[in-house]
Amino acid sequence: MPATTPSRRDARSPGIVGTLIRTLTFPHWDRHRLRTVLTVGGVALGVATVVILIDVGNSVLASFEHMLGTMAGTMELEVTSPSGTVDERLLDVVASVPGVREAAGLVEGFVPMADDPEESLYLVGIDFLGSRAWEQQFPRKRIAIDDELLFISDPTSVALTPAMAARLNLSPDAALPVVTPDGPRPLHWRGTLGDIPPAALFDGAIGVMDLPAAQLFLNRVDRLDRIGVQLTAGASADVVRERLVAALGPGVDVASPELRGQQSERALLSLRAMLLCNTSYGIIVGALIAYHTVAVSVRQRRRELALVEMLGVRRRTLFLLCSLESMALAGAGATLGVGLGRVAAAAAAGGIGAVVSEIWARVDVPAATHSTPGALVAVAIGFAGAFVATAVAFVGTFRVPTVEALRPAGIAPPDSRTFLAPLTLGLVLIASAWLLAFAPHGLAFVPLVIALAGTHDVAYFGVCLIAPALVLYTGRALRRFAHRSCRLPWRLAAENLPRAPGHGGATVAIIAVATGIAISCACLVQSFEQAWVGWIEQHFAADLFVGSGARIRLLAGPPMSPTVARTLATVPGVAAVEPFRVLPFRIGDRPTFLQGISVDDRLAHGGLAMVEGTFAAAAPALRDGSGVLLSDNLAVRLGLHRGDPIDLAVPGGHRRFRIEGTFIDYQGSLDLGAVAIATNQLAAIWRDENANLFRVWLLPGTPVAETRAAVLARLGPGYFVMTGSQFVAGTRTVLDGFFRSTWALVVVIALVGVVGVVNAQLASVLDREVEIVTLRTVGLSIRDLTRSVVLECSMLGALGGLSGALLGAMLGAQFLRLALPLVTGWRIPLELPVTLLAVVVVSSAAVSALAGYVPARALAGLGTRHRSTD
Amino acid sequence: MSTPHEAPVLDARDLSKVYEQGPRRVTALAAVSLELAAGTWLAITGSSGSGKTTLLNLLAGLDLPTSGAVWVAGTQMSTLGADARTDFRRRNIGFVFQFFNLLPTMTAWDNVALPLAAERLSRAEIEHRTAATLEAVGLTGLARHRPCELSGGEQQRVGIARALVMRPRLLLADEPTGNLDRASGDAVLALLRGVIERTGLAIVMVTHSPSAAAAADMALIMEDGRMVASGHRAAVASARTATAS
Repeated sequence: MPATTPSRRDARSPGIVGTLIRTLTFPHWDRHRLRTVLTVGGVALGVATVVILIDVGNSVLASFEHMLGTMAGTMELEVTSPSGTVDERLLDVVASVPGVREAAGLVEGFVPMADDPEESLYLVGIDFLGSRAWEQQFPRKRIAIDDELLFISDPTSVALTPAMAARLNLSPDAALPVVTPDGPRPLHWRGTLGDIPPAALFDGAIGVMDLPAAQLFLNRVDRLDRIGVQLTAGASADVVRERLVAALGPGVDVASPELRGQQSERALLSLRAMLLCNTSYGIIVGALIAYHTVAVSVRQRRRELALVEMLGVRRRTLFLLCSLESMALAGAGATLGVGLGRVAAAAAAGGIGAVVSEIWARVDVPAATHSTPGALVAVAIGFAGAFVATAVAFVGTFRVPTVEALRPAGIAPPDSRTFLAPLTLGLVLIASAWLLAFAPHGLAFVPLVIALAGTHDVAYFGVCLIAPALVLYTGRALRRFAHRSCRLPWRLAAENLPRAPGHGGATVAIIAVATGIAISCACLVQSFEQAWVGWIEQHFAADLFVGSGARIRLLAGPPMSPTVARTLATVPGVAAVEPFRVLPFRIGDRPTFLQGISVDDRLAHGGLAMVEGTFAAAAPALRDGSGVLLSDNLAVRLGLHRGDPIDLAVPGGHRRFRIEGTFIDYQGSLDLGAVAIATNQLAAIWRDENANLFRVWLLPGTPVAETRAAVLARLGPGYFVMTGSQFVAGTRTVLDGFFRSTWALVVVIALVGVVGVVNAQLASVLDREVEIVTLRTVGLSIRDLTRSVVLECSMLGALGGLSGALLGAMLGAQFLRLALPLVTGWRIPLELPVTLLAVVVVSSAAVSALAGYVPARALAGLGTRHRSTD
Repeated sequence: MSTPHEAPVLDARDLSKVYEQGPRRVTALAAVSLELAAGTWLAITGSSGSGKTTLLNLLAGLDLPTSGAVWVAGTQMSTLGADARTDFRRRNIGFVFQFFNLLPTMTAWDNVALPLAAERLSRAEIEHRTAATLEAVGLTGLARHRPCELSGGEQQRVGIARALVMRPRLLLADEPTGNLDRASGDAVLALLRGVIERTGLAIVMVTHSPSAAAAADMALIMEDGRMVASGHRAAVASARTATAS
């Protein structure tokens, strides 16, 4: 019987990999169904997290771009003004420039419905009857108007979409009361917008008016929001642009509509940064869970793999087998994850769009935009996580000599020196999060996000590296302590904890990362809300707040004219009415806000929360128009201080002001920052006397509730009137809405963490089947055995929760101290969510204990007959 | 332990194995040499910790010696790379374990056929050889049973069939009867003797059992990692008796 020689090989051989898949892989999956499902589920959750975040971010931006593109139509250039609006007289100048075929002005705005202030109408004023410039966006033949003469002659005529008319149950010529700056006024439905692109915007809530009527209605007489320009055939956009700049002089910008889109996107910088950072967290968690579940699966089969190698199957063949298994599970998980992620993104996109509309800019996100590259990135992360896990676990498996791996209890006691290098590297990586301190202000968006997400991601990787050492050293310390205890479950648990630090470390790492992300998010949210609400209570206080529309918005609501202020002043008990105005504004190409503040009212009611200078000292310069104030976050981002000069765009050109001080502001400028000027200067220079919010001060002893009712009655429908506490509560509600996506991410991450813990503990307990049966044989009760396993699991959970809480608090501090000023300019003190910290540690221990309970109970209940290690 | 005229199947020279446990150096094996001709059965005995299993692992190429070398069928194991060593072991060395080490998810047939599949033989060849080997160990009727459906003796016979299916030149057995009752153990020893007579392979068997050692032709006794006696079984036994008295 000669030995088999290589020459006997046959191309028609069934193949060892196929044989192993049939005889090892499939039965393994069948025997460990729960763990197989957990592995697929873990990868699916990870992939889904990434898909959701990418799709939601894309949906918002795509909708934003779609809206701008739809309204811009065939306009090749746009004339706008950084100061807000453009003088209507410039329309003729633009039209006379060589190369310009058509020039047309536009005004736009959202007006709340008087009968249903929750709903608002996007009003567009254009010369759609006289100018061919709007033919593509608003083709005349698709706008049905029965009586053109009446439409033009009556400034309340509006063309609506059939959807809007049906929703409001309007009949032709019916009145539609809306809230204009001057108060509630009716529009009349005298035209129907057919199948035109803008009709699909904002769920059909769009109304088109003749330009002069809309100017009147929106309080923009002689002003335009922008002028659209179409070029003659063959004209160069660059050449015409230069001619327009020369002809129009300073104070206006001429650019392509795409550039306006880019500027508007800059306004969403902090949202995009938040979504991208969250995506990076999703990527970490997705990769970690894919890694962990697959690694546990490979490690659990250490003996089996060693045996097959010993029987003559090459190591590379075994690696191929493990990789194929992982890829198959990752493939199933990724497919499921993409599906889950897309469904969840579709459900979440509308909500995120609402938050964006509430805070930054009105955007309609009717459906999620599914990103194929995003899905591919998510799938690649799932596969990469699984592959890296396979490789690392495989190398770890064969680091143990085959002989050792084949032994039933072939686990050598861990050598603590092995863990020193990862421990040191991990600590260095965690500490490196503070390197963000060296990032300069004004960093471009992409490097900024890379720096933000990168420092956090590296820190989370660091905690994964130190986790095994934490388990080892904590376990050894507990073992010394537990030796004095006569309680057997304690002793067994403490004995087992440091036995396999790599195994326990994986569990601790998952919990630490999940809780770390949760805590850092909580630090951000709590600190932010605390600072914001505290600021409102101290510096934005009033007896009543009056605004247009249904409710408080974080940024300013629709404008109100001085007549509203005058009406308020006539209500009995009202001592003072303080207007607060916010206008979109640009400094260079940086979107920001211009605030109009009533200097005397402010002086009478506590001034502003100043960072540099005092409000009283700044007041004279504000009144005479030589000085302005800058919000602290804008000053930080521009690198400007009190006393510095600043050139601002004013109608018709630029003007130099002196910065008289910097002040803290949240409500009036969000993260974009604001330049504050006196209301008298706003009226004189910008010709704007409107207000977005009135702060109303009552005479001492005046009952607030009754006065509120009187104000509501006097103003009529379409306004909100809130007491101070209602205003704070309303602001808090809007903030909660903003952070809802962050909390949703935390919930997903927590779920992923739970899957990871259940998976790890299940595998860990199953690994000790023989040992547990042996302990039963020598007389340990089921209860003691179950308790010992549950205790061990809860120790791991507590360790993970504690390290995650510490890491999360540190990263939260880093975020507030370094990252937030880089993105927004805001400097917010850290508020530690102490209760949440405690809850996280306790719940981590509890979840881990639960995860260990079921398999421990099942194994402890096994009979005491000897079980073969085979 | 081989006759002067035939090349030994196994030739181990000055094998040493030293483990470093922290600052401590533990000598598991010290300067062990042996030769084994085809058709010879060597029993290695010794107390626990005497280095028997370490020696067996070095002979199988599962572990590499700190010094010394092993030749199996004229090939020096330590000169081969990992893959080549795996291939060489599959083709030339069979291994029988005390705890059988059958793959629990596979049937007896699949366990035996596994090395043939790793060799990429044709399906017909695999079926022919597997059937023949299972028949040789008397398990034809149990081919489709999984390990958990077999008795200890039957499992060990599957293990032996798996070790023999590649027609190796050398069979290494680590306490092959250690986990069996007396009758099953005797049956396994008889089976191994039959294999030697039929195929002419050489067997190295580590055992604690005097009855198992008595089935071998040659004996090697180890203590504290050193070889204290070796030669024909009867000679070694009488030498030990004389030393003891």
